Amino acid sequence: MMAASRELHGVQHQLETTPWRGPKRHYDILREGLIALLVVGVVVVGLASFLGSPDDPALTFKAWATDMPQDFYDTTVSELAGTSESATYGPPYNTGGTGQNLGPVNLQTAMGVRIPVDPATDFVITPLQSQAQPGDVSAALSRWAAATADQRTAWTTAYDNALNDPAAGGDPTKVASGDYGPVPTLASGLEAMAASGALDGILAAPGNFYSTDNTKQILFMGDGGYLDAAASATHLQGNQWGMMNETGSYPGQQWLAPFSFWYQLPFFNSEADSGLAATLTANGDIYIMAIVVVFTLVVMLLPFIPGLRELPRVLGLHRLVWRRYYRDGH
Amino acid sequence: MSAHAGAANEGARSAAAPLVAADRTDAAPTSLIGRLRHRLEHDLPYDQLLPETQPSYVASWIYVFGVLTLAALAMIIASGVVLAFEGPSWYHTSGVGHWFNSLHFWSVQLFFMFMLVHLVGKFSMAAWRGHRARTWITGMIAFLVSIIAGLTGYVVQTNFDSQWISFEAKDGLNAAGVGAWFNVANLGQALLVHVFLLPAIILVIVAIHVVLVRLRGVVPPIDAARVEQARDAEEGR
Amino acid sequence: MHVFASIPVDPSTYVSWGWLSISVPNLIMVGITVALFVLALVLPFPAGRGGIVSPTSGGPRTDADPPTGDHAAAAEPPPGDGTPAVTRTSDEPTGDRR
Repeated sequence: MMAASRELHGVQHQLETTPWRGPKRHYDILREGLIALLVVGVVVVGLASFLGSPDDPALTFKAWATDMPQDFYDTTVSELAGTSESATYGPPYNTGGTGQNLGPVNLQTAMGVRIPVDPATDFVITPLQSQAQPGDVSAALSRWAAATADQRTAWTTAYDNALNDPAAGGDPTKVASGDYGPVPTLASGLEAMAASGALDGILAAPGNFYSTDNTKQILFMGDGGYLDAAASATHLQGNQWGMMNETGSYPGQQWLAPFSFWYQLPFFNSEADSGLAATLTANGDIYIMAIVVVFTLVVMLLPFIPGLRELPRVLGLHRLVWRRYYRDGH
Repeated sequence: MSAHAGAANEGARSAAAPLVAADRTDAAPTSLIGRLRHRLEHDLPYDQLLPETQPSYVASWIYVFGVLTLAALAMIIASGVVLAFEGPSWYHTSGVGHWFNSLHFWSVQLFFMFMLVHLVGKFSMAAWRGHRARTWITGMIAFLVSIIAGLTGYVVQTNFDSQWISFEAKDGLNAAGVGAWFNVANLGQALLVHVFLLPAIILVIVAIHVVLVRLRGVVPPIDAARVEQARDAEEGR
Repeated sequence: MHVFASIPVDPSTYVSWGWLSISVPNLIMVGITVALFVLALVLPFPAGRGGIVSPTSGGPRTDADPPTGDHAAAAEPPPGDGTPAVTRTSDEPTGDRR
């Protein structure tokens, strides 16, 4: 019995590793390919012609400063004060944060600051300096330039705290008086510049003809509530399976589902301040990346994993694929 | 010296020498190009690369999804070439541009759809059996590179979607240390990677994948040995 | 949300079951993918024209003719009467190139 089984196994191995010598059929794979191309071409042309494709216009700093002026103003202050998401991000942009840890490993820090972004200078001061400004803004810029680093920090921190105090609630008209130096003028100056549309063309590469790198624009816009609100409105947030979604009535990147799935789990979406869930949420990106890499390797190396590689036989779908061969022998 | 040896072997072959001797002659090339030719001639003759027949068990619609994936890839490349010539913001302002963008968009949707069915189909057949693991692995690599190509494609749309996707995608890439070199917020970089580097990688991997399929042939059914033994018994062998 | 009314974005329609949330277009695509897979397994595949090709009907081989398996089969027209001329060739050289 065992000998027969072993012989069967040997025959199976020989069948799999040598050219097939059993029954064959004429099968024109080139013709099949041309028909496939024709069919896919017709379907694609039909879908494109009748359904089109999504294209919601890019958000602008002009619209942000016009529609949500207070949010723009508050974000500008946080950039100056170094409290924004970008300013506290860490590598590869700056040293304002430490990046995410996978246990003891921090790949983010290991790669260093490769794409330097200094939000106060890059998002506020340099764009303001690159254009002729009204007298008060011009004077504020001069005062900023002449101040020491400590003085700047004292002004921005004081103003950032006062602005975000519950008494003011982010409203600059309700901020208690204090020594804020040129900070309020710089913020309102940038708001005016953005509302005029000037910031959109300048932020990427102030003073340069060409601009092909949008890192600063993306980071600045992401620090505020405008991009975030638009993403929430279109159901694109990470914890809304947003990675797979698309604007308009169109399918999105569904192939990211194995990635997106993990972001929906409670321990990667935790409000906790301490404990495992807090650690996993704070370092969610790298943990999820690691999980996806492991799963991908398992699938990729499936042919070599005993047990798992027998799964197809257990599932039995092959009986449907080859039902005629099993039944008739050809 | 080698010329003499070659002449001697020619003589030996014409005198119907044992196959072994002829094989040894064929194994002789020591130059890289000679070895490559030897490998191709022996492992992948034309009638195996471009066969007119397939084993009779290749009789299911599941087998057409590999070819459908290739057809969708061809449509992606064709529409992508048109888009590349006009630049990344053409389709925001031109109806024709938008139509070509739609072709590109739906080709990509179908590409991933067909590829997924192909992958699950090959999984159900355990198609890695019989030294075909490399075919499976190259297919998986093609899938992964396609996902990255898809991501860069969404990023170079230069619309609201791209803004949000670059903003979101950067965190995972940065956390893994990849973002320091692969910056999805850098339109110039993403565009070049999307239209040149990734398609080139995909084409090479797909070519290897297809050649490996032809090299090994389509995997025989699970438990084909039972059927073939029964056939042998029936024929009294 | 009224302040965002001017944001030029166009949301899709979503359906949710607990933690699972999916846009209708994505759901349609998933449905089509599953349907394609099921149909590919279930629908009968039309047999190739000409029926079964016998692998041993290619005529005698010489030593100079490497045993490729495909070779002989491809050269020979299929049997005209449509009856399967199935023969095993286990007594021939295996042609194992690996």
